[in-house]
Amino acid sequence: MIGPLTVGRDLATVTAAVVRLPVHLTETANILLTTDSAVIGASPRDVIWTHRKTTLYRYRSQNRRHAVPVLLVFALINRPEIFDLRPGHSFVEFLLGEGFDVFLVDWGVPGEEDADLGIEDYVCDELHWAVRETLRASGQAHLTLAGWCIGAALAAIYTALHADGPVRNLVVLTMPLDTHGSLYASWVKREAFDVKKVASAFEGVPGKLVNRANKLMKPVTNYVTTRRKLVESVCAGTVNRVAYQSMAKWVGDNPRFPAAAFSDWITWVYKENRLANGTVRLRGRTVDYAAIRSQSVLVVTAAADHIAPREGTLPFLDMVTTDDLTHFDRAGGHIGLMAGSRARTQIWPDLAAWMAERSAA
Amino acid sequence: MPDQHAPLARVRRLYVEVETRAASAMESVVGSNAFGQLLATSASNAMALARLVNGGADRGVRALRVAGRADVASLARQLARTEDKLERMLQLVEELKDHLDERARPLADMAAARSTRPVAAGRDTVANQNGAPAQTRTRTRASAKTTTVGARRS
Repeated sequence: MIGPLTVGRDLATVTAAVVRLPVHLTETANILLTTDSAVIGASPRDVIWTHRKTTLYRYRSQNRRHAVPVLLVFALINRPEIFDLRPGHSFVEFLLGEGFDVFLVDWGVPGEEDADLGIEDYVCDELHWAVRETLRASGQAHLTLAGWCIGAALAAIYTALHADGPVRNLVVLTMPLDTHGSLYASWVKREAFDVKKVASAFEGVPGKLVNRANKLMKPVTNYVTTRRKLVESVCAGTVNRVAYQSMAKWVGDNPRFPAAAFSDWITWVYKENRLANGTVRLRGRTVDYAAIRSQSVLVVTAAADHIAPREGTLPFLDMVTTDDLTHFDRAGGHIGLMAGSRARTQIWPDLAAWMAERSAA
Repeated sequence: MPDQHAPLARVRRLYVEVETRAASAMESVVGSNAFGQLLATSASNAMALARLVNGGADRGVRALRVAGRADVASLARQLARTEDKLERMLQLVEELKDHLDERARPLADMAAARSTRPVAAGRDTVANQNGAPAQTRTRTRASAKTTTVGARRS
């Protein structure tokens, strides 16, 4: 039974919420409008090498204890600052603290003139040269190659093509491989999607379009739930402004996907599933993951990854022939796994420990 | 702890339920064959339209004797190719330098070993003439030369 006291209390609660609403909405709007000024990728670093739009960075450190340097490779969509998201919550910062010599290859922001850059150019030239420069700068003969998303696929392809090369440890984070039955494949596999026409319209695919396609996979979650949760956290006074803005800024920064690379990626990975079938050829050489036999390999999958679902990555475990193979399967999504609030305690220490064991001179 | 039965909490709960169901429904929609076909065709159409519009605009700009997007991109592509060639050339030079350094290392080692032998007495004569005590010292060839030059200057 609802008594007059209950009604009065409810009325007071509603009135208080309505009175505070303009304040909360103003604060939410302020968070959204000032997202661009968030600081991301702030760890001090030096430019080691540049070629076209690609830049190789080395992070400054007085604490290099492990001989083998780590080269981080990110995807061709979005920017690699996710490895160094914000001070206090940065994988790069964490690795530096653990005594690693950290390098990062940044693909830059391709322009129309880079439309001719295909996957083979990224793997056989840009990544190959970045590896070369990493070794020259560090004075070492071997390195750890750690890739994320498409970057993981590029790192794995590179390692397979240079099986006797300098990669000692390969770390692949949420890597797309077997895309059979995936949502992306169901969108682009059909004849109506002419990948060459789509890629060539702007001499590349605008990053915003790729971002929209990613968000469209979970439209309500991405367009509504995220905002609703922000408003709620503002109302509850628990909002972490810096965390929200840094992630939102990174998500919104979408460079162009070069036409040739986009065409290669969609055709090889989604339309023809060539990576899983072992029929990708780069400059006349077949990419055979079975050639990865002398490297230590770490495969990391995320249980709630809808972009590179875990089931699509698992075949990689059977394809490589190395004896030193480790698989971490953790909670989280495609990006949240490595950049979410729990990454610092749930995945980074394990990654660092795995690499440290294999990074002696 | 917030009252679970308060009107605002009830409204919120209802809203979240609606949102969850909508999310699930929308995911089914975007995963359907019909949506995939619509998306694929729409993307192709949009890109074709963009190509037409961009091409038309570019032709208009070029008609005014101003460099269009295609011209700028073509120029930038030529620069990129030149950079590719320079990069390959640089790597070749670096490899040659490394190779030469490697070949020169045994010679340098030999020279260093030879120079660590006791310096001949005649070399110290200059120092002796300047009042330094005559004694046999061990030093590298480079430092011996510096000392001699320094002694001459003084």
